[in-house]
Amino acid sequence: MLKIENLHARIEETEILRGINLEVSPGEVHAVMGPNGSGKSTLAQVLAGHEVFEVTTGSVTYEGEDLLGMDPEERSRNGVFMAFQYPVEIPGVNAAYFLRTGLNEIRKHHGENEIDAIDFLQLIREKLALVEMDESFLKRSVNEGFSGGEKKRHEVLQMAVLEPRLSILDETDSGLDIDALKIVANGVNHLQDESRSAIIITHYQRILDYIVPDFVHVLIDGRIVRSGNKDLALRLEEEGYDWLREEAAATVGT
Amino acid sequence: MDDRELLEFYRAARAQLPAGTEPLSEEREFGHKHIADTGFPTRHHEAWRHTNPAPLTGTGFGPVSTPGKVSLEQISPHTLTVDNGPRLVFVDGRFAADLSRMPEMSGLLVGALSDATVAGHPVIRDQLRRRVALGGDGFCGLNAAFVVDGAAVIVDEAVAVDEVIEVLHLTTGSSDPSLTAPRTLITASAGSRLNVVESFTSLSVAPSLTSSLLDVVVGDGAQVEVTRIQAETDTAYHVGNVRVREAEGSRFTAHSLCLGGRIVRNDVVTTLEGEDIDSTLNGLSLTLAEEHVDNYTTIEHAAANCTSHELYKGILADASRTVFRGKIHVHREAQKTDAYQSNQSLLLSDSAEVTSKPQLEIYADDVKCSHGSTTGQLDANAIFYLRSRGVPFEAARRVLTRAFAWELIDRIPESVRHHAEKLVSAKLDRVLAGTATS
Repeated sequence: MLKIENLHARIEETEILRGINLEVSPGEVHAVMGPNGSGKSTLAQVLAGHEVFEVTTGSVTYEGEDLLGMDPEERSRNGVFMAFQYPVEIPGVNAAYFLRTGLNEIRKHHGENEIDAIDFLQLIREKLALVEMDESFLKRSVNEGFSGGEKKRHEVLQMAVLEPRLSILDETDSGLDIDALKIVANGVNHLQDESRSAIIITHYQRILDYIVPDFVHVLIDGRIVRSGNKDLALRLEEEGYDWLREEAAATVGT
Repeated sequence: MDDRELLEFYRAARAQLPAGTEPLSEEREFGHKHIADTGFPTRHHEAWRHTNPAPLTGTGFGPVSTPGKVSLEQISPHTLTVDNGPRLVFVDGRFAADLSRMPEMSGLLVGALSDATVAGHPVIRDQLRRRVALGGDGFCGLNAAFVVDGAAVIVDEAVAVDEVIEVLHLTTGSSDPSLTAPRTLITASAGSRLNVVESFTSLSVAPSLTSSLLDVVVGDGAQVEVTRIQAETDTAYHVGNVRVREAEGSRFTAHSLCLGGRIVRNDVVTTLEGEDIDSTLNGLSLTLAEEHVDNYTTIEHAAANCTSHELYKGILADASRTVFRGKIHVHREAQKTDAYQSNQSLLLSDSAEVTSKPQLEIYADDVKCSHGSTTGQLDANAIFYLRSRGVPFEAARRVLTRAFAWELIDRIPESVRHHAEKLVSAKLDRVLAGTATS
């Protein structure tokens, strides 16, 4: 489904991703962990198409096509979704309009009709229940005045509505209490099936108790230095990242 | 033309005006004298530092001798869709009875100043005799000097008028550079309620100068809402003066939509003369090409316990410019004043320019007075957020720009909102199209 090869990316003069290799097959859940500043969020944003990052070398193939050649909106319409670490506030645009506009763009792309108000309401009610959010929330401006937890649940709500084939969760778990974390995890698990994949970018092992990954990768200084199964996450939780940093330094010889 | 030549030009031009009703011919004499005494402002006047008045006086705009012919079909895009409220239509400054509607309504007088009965009404006479224009600059005098017609609206005590009262001014540009000087007089007696929309539109691209004066008197406890729509072409100049006097316990709200004009200047003064007044000025401008909009506002807090709110927003494309001056003058006796002013501009182009000038003059010691001014571009993160949810770049820009404008549209009375939305959407399309690649 997704194949990242030797990906290098920078912001202005600073190189952040320094040769990422990662392959995700349909139905798989991958966790990407790493210390602050290791490039986790950059990886997510490069995959979503944020223009502030410049890809200097490498390739990303998504379902056989060049992902990096697509505009952000094309990526979305082709089934790629990133849950934002810092969801953006949009005053004056209500959440219902925002959700419906995105959904209709994706439907149009698939040659389907725009969803009418009644069907949309039915759909959205179902999805709201999944993330345990109240209907009144749809009338509020996107993310404006939302609590941290509401913002993250709103991201998962969007994911549930848009039903992407590849979901990238950029630290969706950070700042959540255990109840909100369970809700978010439930939203992700609900969508997951043998044709859909997810990349969970996280700082902590905690969310992986609820979304069980098939693979865990550790990102340090813009490279994946170690991959393993969920036990790797548990070891990181206990021992931190220093042992991997030392190993990485020894391998690269710096 | 220098001032003396201009005055001569105006004297000759005035001789061609129809005699009209007596209170108006008297007003014209005062107007002419006022221009002769004060002259016209230049760029060197502080009030006109950011808007060059020279084009307004330089090109010999004169009154229209024969108003153009306009059909009902031609005016329909510029009118509200409601089909039974009172409507006064003026073509090239003259009342067009065939395009107007004046249903009999008890407690409400709606009519044209060219009608001797209307102009002779004691309330109108009194309002004219206050010589409001003489308190302003030469352009205020220009309205007085050339006023031949206008709208009069009087609502009696405790009468609530549900219908929107519509005043529409059209210029047809069927002659040389035209000068029209429409006057609108509104009196809302104590405890009454009134909703007025005043629109200015040009039907051709011939050069025109509109010197308008809206004079509103809001009685004790009355509620008045006025939506003013300027949607002219880019060969039109408009100097609008708005004067509002509010009495105790009243509520006044103005919504100003500047949707077209080469130079549009609005000089708005609201005077809060009694206690417990709530006064609001909302303004939205959408400008492109070389359009220039200057909102020059003054709120006189002359009594205690009043609240005023001002929100002016501008969306600027191309090399257009907006100027906002917001003066809040809190008099010594106006204790417990609560005044807030905000000016927000969205720049869609690198060549657009905004001048924002708050001016708070506070002479009372127990007041709450604040202001804010922001100028910026569309939020790149918000655009990316929308795109990442499948919304194309152009649509994302539109969604965000629209949201910026609609904060003000949503405040417009429901009966007028649909019409306002239609006009603003059309201008928004043009503003966004001109800057598609920025």
